[in-house]
Amino acid sequence: MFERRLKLLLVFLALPAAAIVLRLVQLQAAWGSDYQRMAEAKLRRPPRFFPCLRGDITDQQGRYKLAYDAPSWNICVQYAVVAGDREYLRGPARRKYPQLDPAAAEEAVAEEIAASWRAISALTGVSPDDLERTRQKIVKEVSTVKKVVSQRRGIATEIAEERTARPVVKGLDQSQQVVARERLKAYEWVEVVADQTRHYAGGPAVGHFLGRLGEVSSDDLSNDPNRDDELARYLSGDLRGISGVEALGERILRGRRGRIEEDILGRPVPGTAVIEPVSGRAFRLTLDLLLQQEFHKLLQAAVESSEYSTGGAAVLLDIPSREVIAMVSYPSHDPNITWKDWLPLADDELRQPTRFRPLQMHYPPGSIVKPMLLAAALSDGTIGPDLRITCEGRLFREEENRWRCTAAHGSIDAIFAIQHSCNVFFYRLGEMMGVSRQAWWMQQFGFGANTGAGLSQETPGSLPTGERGERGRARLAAIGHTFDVTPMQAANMAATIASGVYRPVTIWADDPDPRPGRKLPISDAAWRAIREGMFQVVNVAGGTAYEYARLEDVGDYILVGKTGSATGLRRVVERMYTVHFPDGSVREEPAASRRLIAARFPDARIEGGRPCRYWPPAEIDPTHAWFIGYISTRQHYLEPHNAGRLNVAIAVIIEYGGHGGSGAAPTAAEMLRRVIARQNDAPEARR
Amino acid sequence: MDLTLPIPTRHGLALLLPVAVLCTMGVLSIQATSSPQQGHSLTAATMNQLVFMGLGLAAAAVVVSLGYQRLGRWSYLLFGLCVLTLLWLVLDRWINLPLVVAQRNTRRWIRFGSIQIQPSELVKFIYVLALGWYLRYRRNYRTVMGLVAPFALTLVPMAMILMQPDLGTVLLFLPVLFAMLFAAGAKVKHLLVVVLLAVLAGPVFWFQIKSYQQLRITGVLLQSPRVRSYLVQHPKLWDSFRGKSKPGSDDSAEAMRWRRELTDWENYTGYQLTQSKIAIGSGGVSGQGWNRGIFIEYDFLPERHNDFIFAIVAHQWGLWGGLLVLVCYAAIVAIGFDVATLTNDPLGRLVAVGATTIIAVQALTNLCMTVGIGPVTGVTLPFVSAGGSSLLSSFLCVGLLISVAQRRPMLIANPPFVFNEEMERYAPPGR
Repeated sequence: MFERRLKLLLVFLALPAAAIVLRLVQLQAAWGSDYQRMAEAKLRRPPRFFPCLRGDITDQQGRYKLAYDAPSWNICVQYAVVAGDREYLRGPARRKYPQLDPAAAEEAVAEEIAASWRAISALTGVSPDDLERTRQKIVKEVSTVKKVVSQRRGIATEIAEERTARPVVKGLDQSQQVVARERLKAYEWVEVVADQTRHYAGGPAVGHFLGRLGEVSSDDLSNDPNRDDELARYLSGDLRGISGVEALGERILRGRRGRIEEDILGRPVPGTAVIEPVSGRAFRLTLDLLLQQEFHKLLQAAVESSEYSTGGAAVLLDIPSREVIAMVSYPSHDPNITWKDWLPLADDELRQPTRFRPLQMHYPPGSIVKPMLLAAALSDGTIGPDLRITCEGRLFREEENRWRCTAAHGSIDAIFAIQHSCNVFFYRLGEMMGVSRQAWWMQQFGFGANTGAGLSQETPGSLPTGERGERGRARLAAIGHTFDVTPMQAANMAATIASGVYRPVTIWADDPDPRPGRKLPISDAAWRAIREGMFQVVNVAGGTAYEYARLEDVGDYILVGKTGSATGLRRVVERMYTVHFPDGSVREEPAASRRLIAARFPDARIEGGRPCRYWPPAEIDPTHAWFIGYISTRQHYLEPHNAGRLNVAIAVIIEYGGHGGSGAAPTAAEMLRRVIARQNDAPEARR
Repeated sequence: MDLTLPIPTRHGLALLLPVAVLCTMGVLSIQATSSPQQGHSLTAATMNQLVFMGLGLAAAAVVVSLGYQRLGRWSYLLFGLCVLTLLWLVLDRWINLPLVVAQRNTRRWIRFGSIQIQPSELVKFIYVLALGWYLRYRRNYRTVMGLVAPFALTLVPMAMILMQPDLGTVLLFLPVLFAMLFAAGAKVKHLLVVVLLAVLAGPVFWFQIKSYQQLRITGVLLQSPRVRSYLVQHPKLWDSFRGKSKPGSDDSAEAMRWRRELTDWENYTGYQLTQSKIAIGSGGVSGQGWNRGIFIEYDFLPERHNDFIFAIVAHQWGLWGGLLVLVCYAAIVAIGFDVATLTNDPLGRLVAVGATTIIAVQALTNLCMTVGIGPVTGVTLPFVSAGGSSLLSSFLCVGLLISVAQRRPMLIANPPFVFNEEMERYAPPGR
């Protein structure tokens, strides 16, 4: 009985013992190697990454760096101090003032922290208020991230940002950082950390399009094509190009970060190699920086010498490849401009210095579309090559002031119509073609669509629209009104006329996959006719640019082109806003923009925005001066361009510059003289 | 007063061998996991352990000298004293009493000068004696009314230790009671009623204990990621399982912490168990070797020298080391039960069974916890874990076993508790 019960007790005890034995076999024999790996993993830190340099943005020669990373230093402060966390005081208090009682020691450390903020301010010249703003911004950002992370995980989580030092002053140079290290070394919560800063060179000539960097957004993170590559993928806080060339060349410019695996004592983990960071590749633009800068100067001179002009743009294209050799916009700003300096520029409604005119702004093209439409009509058979039209200075004898021409040209043919830019001829031609056919041809020349430069600022302009049989709109479209083109589109049209081939433009010199050209369905005879017309515009007495743009001083080269005087809209430079003040009173106040008036009366409710002042003044016609053209020679100007000669096309617009011949053509001619001179200096400058 | 010389018999010597093996493994592990002292080859923790081993041996010798029968006679008195000590600890909750060491809201220790003792460890030993003293008469365990006293004897210290709180020690009493009643020959249906009552009381007990204790007990289930993800998807089930509603609104800090028990179990309440499994598993079959291995070098495993020392043993000596520990306990149980069968004295039999069960149940509870097949309770591994009181009480149990083995009466009568259940008559021996 007793023995039997003891045996039963033994069985009771043996059951868990057997379970333990099985479990030990499972853990140690069956899963042993897995657990061994897990144990070893405990000794490894998560891999650390080294930052890599971003690639340079260079000009076509690769000689001038337009954007580059340069070493710089940041002053970083521990997040706990930035956030003003009293808990943090305890550690330094104990270490620095072991003899004081804890409360007094913490007070002393708090004093030192305040002193360190003052020292940072004195050292860098950043005002205490700005530091305070930076501080609040950092706290806000980190707590936002913390909130998002906590919500995603469903638990309150301490994030890495809370444990690291955050930069409060960025971009110290070498000498500043040495001084900062020395002066701030007493404060253990302040570090001077090496970093890189993106610098932009080239001045206002390249002010608009290099773009800028911004921190990656959550969309960038989730749409990252390199998601699965831990060395190339974006990490939160990384910078990426968010506009301009920086965004366009992001894939090229971005490098690969380096990687090191260390154990918890900081020794490299055996079996893992240290991967050095790889800098991003250079993004070579098609631009010629020297020409770009000269163009900018010339454009500046042209705009400044014109009484009512608010700005201008010029684009120079290499015709066979449609590489953009120069694209300038005036007024401009330095590419290193800070947000703070940029904002007031953005409020300048008159001169609009923040807008990149070659791509971002569009204007009615005016007469520069006439050769294109003539070639189209000749090819379509809408008109015969021998068509003559009588111009009496206006379209209808009975309507003195409508459908006017520049002069009474008499009975003229197509080439004369181009040379003298006769409106009546093209009113008739427009009537015959109709709006939709004109629009179709304009599309063939690249109007109404992006040119392929790839910059995010670009706008496509517009195409003429109108019902069948709407003769008025057809006439206006034929003289380049009722729709808008960008200077880049105008330059590409000139290149298309020169070569007979439409092709998207590019600003990337190393594009591995250039977009092909498209030969337009226009007969050789039609091309020759319009080239003859454009030749006469510049080189035959009576041409609209004859007085202004002949290249007689540059040897063999001649300029073939077309002027345009386009009536644009007046620019609204001031609006009248109705300001409702909190006390109930209402007042009308003029201002350039809603932002400015809102800044002036932050508490008031603002309505309306009726335009009240325009530019140019009412007595001046709002006429933009256009010139498009290309370089050719007397012998070959009728033939399509072949590579091997100086194959460049140009478009210049001077806003409110008046007549195209006097307003834009001289500038274009001067620019092309510089191009030719540069070609003669360095014949191999372009590939 | 005549004293017995504390010279172990054959059984006693056989018992000391596995105990010595276990103690050695314990001391080596403690030495490996504690930081060395300047100028000494032994660490402070090792010295402490060795001192208490000596004290334990001396205590065992005292027990043998006095003899279990004399101790049995004194057992009610000793038990009373122990209960008073426990009461002292309990009262400290409300009145601040001297000598009590309060640690993280628990009151388990009494301090005399530089010596700290844990009365609950000593109670176990006295409890076996007192229970044996009571059950040595047949009338006391064959009737239902006779069972009231043993339960009272059990529940009083249990309740007091529960208030310390020391869940692990509390849970030890019931198996010992069950084993002694069972061995004494209590009617099976009585015992079944007792077990049933315990099962029914389980839920009540479950919802009474603290949240962290619940989580430690459920670690057995929660270590499976599948169970955790199921509970994450069914938060209502989790709430009702814990018998408490989720505190605060959905995005409050408490609610986040409440959910974190599931989503981040491995770094939270499950941290110790996860580390323990990694330590054992990474020992592999052959082990990392003494004083070697990641878990020796770094203190990843909290309580590695104490409750979780088996993980360190298995980490160093692998599967073979782990099996050796089990074999040692098996040997102790086998010898203990052999001692029980070889004596004719009813008190001796009960005391031997009780003392053996205490060691065995503690070892099994601790091992189950460490390998992750039992709840995490703060039970030490007898003879191996660092800790003076635990060592002392284990040695006292060994002393009892040796004492019983020494005082084997002549075979002149029918052995006690050997009778035919149906006939209610003594059966001849050997059946």
